[in-house]
Amino acid sequence: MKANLSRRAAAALLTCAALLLSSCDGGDSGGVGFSVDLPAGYGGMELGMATTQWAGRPFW
Amino acid sequence: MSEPSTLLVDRRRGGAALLLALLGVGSGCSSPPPVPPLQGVELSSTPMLGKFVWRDLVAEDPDAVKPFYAGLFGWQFEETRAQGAPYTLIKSGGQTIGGISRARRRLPEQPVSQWLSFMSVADVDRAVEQTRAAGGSVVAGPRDLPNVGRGAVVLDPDGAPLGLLRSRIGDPVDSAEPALHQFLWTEHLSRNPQASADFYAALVGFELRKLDFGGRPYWVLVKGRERAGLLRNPLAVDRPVWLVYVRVADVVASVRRTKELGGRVLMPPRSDLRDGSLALVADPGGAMLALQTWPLPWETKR
Repeated sequence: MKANLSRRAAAALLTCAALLLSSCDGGDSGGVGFSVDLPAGYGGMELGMATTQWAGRPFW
Repeated sequence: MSEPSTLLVDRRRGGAALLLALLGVGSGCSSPPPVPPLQGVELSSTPMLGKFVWRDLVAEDPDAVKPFYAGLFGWQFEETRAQGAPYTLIKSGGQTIGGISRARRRLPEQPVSQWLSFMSVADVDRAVEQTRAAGGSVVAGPRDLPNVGRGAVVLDPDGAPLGLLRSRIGDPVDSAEPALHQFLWTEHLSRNPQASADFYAALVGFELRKLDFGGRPYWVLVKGRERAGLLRNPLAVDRPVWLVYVRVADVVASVRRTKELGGRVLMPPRSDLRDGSLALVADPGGAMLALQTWPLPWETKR
């Protein structure tokens, strides 16, 4: 009987541990931080003189 | 058979010790400790729809690019976690202005490091559905973001990566002017500019202001105020992108510093382009960004 109680107590403790560990994300920074698979970026490509058609400007 | 009482006591003590240990694990699980979100940033009580409210540098090797940004812009970094993974907050002038997360390269020949901008939308799930319906696709989410709100990453119908965000803590309010070494502007270099402009007008309710620069159209996306620009991609590389601009004091000096810090100059300043006030560079990981002096030279002369 007491052994059963001890096992139940241990199980409850393990459940508690799992809940505590799963709550770790709740301590996140507040940043966005998606780890995502994005298509290729521009990398270090030389863009050279192909920019003569750049129109516009920033409008702050 | 009953257990010896001493053993039971030992088990109780052991259980208490285990509980304390687990509590210790629980309290120390987020290492380094969490920090208040968006330090130094004034937040609006209502969402600022259509505004780019967050930027993430999605980098293949975050540690390798931090010295570049520290040296070029004086940015500081704070290590933390987001979505259960290591995440770096970027600080400039005492403000949290963005983050750095880790990217994975799928193909050896395709570098994926890039800046990813997040636009404030009213309803992320609805915006994702609108994007899908218009021919775009979903990269991640929508999902709840602890301490932030709800977000997703999509490829818009043109193929440009875009973050969608609905913050429950508020969006950064507009400052009087863009701070030096912080984000100044965001510009969509598009394959199909008219279609892209129409898509964003429908997505967020932008008013489209179409301007003519010597026969070359430029759309300003306006929602309360000018939020972004959009033009046919002028680069030889046909790769739609939301290009991020950082304000610099001296674009020539910034380009020189870029080289010293291991970055690459993709397009040096040119006298025939905004009076030499713009340069495109890539950080050592290959993420492209625009360096722009502000105000523009002809506005300074007035």
